[in-house]
Amino acid sequence: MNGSPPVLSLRAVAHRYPGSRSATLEHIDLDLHRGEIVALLGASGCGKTTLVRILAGLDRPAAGTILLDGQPLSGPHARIGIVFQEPRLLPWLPVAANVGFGLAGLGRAERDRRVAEALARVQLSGYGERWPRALSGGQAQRVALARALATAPELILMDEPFGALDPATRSALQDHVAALWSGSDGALLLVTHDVDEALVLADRIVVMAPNPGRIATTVAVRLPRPRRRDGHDLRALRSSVLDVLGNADPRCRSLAIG
Amino acid sequence: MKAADIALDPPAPRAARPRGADLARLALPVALPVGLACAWEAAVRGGLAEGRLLPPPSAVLATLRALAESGDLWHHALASLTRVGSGFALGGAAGIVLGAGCAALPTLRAALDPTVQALRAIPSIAWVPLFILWLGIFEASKIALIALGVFFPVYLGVLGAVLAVDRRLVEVGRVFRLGRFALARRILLPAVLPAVVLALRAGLGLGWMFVVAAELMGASEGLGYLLLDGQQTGRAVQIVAAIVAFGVLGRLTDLVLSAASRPLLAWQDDLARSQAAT
Repeated sequence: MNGSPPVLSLRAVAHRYPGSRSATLEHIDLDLHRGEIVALLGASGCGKTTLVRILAGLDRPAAGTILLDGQPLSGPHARIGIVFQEPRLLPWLPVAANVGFGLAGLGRAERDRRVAEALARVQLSGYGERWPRALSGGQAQRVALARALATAPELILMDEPFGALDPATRSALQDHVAALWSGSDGALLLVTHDVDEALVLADRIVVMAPNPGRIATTVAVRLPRPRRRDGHDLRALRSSVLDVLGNADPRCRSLAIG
Repeated sequence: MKAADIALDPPAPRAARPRGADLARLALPVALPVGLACAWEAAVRGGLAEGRLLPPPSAVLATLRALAESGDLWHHALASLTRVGSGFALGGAAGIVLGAGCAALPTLRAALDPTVQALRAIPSIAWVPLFILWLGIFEASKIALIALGVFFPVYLGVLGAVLAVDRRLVEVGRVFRLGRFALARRILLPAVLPAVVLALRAGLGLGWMFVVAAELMGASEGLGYLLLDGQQTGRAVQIVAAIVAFGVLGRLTDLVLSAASRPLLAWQDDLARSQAAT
């Protein structure tokens, strides 16, 4: 894709839950480059979330190698951030302390500066004193994004981060993430089952298939940004991605037609 | 005021209604006890009741004042308070340490928890004769009984609270690479704090229950001694005075405990808060 070495490199990564007959993931090869947004697209049960949990260091792969900047990855890493499906804010900390949760090693002034900067990037300046319970779903998920951004990671993982939000908030946040990443040199790995979300955000769509979880194919999205959801090019690409998804998983065929 | 006047009155200022509502909110909780006390007082003064076995409020207050003026009230209250305090500290600390330990270490839990649960089935007062044989009839056996009463609810509450911590929040700690100690301090401790405070308050309540039992079984000081002394000398008014003193002390210590924990629990988003807000 480009000449520089990948930020993240997966080779032959496999995973199997103890006592399970089939593998959750089998032979995953994947490279992520700087500034790149890659969407992992697939139906439920194809191992997308497991793959993200392995990269976050929460689960261990059964086989394969994972390199971050050429170094083997084992366990949670400071340069990998994650935004979960739910905000997972700590309810006993105000917003600012949640955003600064990963910055405990820094001095007070530097921490405050980084927190203010991260909150500004998700357009929630002035929300630092609030309690998480006083936030809407979309605001809470933006705080979770700010918490991941605050540690300035090279790679951010997002596991269906907008799935629980209403459609208007979801598309606003997608546009916001697209804007945040344009010109940034961090990589973003976004798990989604929403084809449109993948098309709006990703440079590449990695389509996964289930039983065992594997990469079926990769679709490059070479569309100019910002992308319009109802644009002609995007619509054309959507039907081909849905075709690929239908071939990858027979269960999806009805979805593709619908 | 006639109906027409009401209709023509300008709308009451906004502050007026909340003030009335505030008054009702303050008055409502005390209406029942104060009403009953006044009714009993009136019944005794009006000659409808004798009041010897259940003395009227004025006689109880007079007794309390006399006890306070002679210094006896403070002496006995302090004796009971000291016993509850010592037993609560011992039982609460043991409950927190063993509850948290059993929650953190499955092996310890497997080894210890069944025994604790079995011991819990024994009514704590049943231990008294043994405690007296082992520890004598003075302070040690009383404090041991109170500590035992406090231990069980605290142990159960802490164990349950730690086991119920949201795994997803623990994962947030792991993603930020917290070590065992930091995870305990920054995620587990704040997460279990509300349940631990509740368990401590339940334990404190049992502590007051068991101090009465301990003092009734033989003591030369303490509010329980005033109870027993009142019974043996046939002075119901002294018994009621001691009961009132127990109630006030129990409520005060509970208030102190919940007030001390309130700043730590300001974040809670629960039913009590939403009811307070309306």
